[in-house]
Amino acid sequence: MPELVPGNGGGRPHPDEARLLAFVDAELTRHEASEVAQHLSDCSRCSDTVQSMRQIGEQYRSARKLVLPPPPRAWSDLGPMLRTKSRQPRISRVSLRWAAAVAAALAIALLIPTLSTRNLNAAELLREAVVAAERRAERRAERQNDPPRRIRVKTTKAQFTRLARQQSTLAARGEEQRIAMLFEQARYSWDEPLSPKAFADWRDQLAGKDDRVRILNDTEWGTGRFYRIATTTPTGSLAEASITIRASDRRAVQQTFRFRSADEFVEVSELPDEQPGTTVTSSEAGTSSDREVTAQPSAARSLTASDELRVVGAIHSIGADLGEPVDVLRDDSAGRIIVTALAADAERQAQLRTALAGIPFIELRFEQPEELRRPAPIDRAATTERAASNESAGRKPRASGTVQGPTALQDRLASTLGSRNTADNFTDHVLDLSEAALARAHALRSLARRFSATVETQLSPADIATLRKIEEDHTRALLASVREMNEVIRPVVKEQGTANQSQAFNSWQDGAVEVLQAAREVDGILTTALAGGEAAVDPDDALSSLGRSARGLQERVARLQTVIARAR
Amino acid sequence: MDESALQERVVAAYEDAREDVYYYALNFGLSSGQAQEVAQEVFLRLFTTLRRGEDISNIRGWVFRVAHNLALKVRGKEREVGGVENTIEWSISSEDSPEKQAIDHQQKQRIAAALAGLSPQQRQCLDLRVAGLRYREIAETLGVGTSTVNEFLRRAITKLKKALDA
Repeated sequence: MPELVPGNGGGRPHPDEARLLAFVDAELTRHEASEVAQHLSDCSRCSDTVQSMRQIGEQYRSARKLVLPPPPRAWSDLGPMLRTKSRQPRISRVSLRWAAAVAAALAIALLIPTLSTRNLNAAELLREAVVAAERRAERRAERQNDPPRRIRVKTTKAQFTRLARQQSTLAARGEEQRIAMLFEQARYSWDEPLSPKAFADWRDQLAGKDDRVRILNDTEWGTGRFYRIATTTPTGSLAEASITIRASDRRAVQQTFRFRSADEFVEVSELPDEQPGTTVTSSEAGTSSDREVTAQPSAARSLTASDELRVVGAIHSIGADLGEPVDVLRDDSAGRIIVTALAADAERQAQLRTALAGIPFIELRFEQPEELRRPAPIDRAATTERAASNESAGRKPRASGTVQGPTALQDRLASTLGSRNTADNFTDHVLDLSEAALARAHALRSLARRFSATVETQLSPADIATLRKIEEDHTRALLASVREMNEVIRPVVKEQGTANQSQAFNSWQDGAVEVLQAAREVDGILTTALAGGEAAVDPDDALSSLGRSARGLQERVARLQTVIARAR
Repeated sequence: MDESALQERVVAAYEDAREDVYYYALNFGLSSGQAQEVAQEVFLRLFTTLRRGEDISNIRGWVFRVAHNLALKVRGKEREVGGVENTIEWSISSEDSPEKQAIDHQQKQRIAAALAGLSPQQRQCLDLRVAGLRYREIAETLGVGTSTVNEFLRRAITKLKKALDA
């Protein structure tokens, strides 16, 4: 180090303290740093400053240690914890709705699984769907006497049906021709618009794209899980396309197309007579699925509604028909019922095996989805996958450092209930109740779908009794949750006005549909009002809507209970 | 990277940085128990994230960003009306003689006053700086610009020096 000559920097201006600090922290460019260094070489004042700055780091550390409380416990030995974690499956549980719930889980038991949104890989799914479609096509070709499949096309102006697959040159006139041209312009094949292959081909040749995969339950195409891949692209006349794939057999049931320039939206879907179970591929579609066949699948035994009920009953008995629904799909062509469980942990897998052990015509599949490389979203507005109004999707993490302030409703709750703490507890409690209610409502609607009035006629009296018992279990639990919810919100929802009107149900099936609608409505109000973010909600409106909807839900559930009791 | 090498890497980072993370978490008004739990949880998450195959180029930056968010969440859950308190407690060793205790107490009071004179953001900057983070990393964690970080640090250091050298 050059000898310090006491001086004043040779008459040059001293760097300000911020710059000196930046120099000490090595945050200057090489050029800036060398200038400062040069100044320091003959300025004692600045050198002293720099010297004391170098020391302050250690001084601060000591001060901090001296004066702040030390960690109250000995530091846990992390090694063993990580080794235990290594033995657990990599799949994490579905994230809970509120980040507050995550904080509550920060308990002593540190072996909690990481919470993250489950993401499915668009490319993988598409590959599997393409393979499944090819297998199906081969099988169809073998049979030869199947009627040609048809699809429905809906546009903003009209709808029509056409063959699922036909050469473009045979396109009809009028609306169909207009649409055919749109597709041609977008370089998307109009030969077979409902086809994973066409979708994959289009997606592959995009220069820029953004994929989003959502998990849907109980759609208009039947019970069970569906995946919807939506791909957007900034250039070209086709701005966004989506494909909806049934999870159990990877069959594409619907596609949508949004054309940029023409401002046109086209939806293509299977025609209803293509029921699940008629042309099901045998299985090698899923690369990551692990299948177990418990009996000879080739004994093409005719399946009945009674068989389905038996399976549904078994799954209900272990409580696996709530929350994470287990798919039950009847495959008549193979004489099997396919039970698919997504992301089941070891304990759940064992439970399912045991529960289904006595049933001969079952194929049990466990699927583990792969996760995309995205950081776990620490996001107050993360939602569960079950509510139709908030489908699970990949969310971008919030920029670090931004803290979300309380919404107007949260402020209102805090002042009505006395403290922020009480308000947060209240919120969590109500959300839990809503989530529980929604799970039950979904389960009931699934049953209603599977066992329609027509199907019920195929059931024996004993079967009917079993079915009613399952319905009663769900309805009872649902009513309890909703009653409690109305109790809990009473102090906050002052208005004792009339509940939303409802009409009598013709059947329990109709009742189940109405109840689900009502439960979704309540859940939607809660989510919007408490989620915060962009949508500002007037607390008075929110609370009175909540009151009306919650009371309406309770009335409907009570009525459903009566209808079920009478239908015994 | 195979599992055991990954475990070693995370354990090494844990032993290296856990105290810094702990002190950083204290800035958010958490209790010492909560701050310690945050510190331990961060490293568990580091492990599961790396194990998923995610590539983290800057471990330190990641650790403190996650610690920041976790601490905010824990604080959010326990927020009291009126904001976060800025208390500094201190512990006095009971083994020393009364005279030594008196001197220690005085000194500690002075130091405590020095730290209390810093704003929480200044303390956060200091904690991150002594943890070895660069200005860019500190800036990203706190959601400010690098020149702001420079300025916070400058003010913090000036205040500290004045108080400690008095």
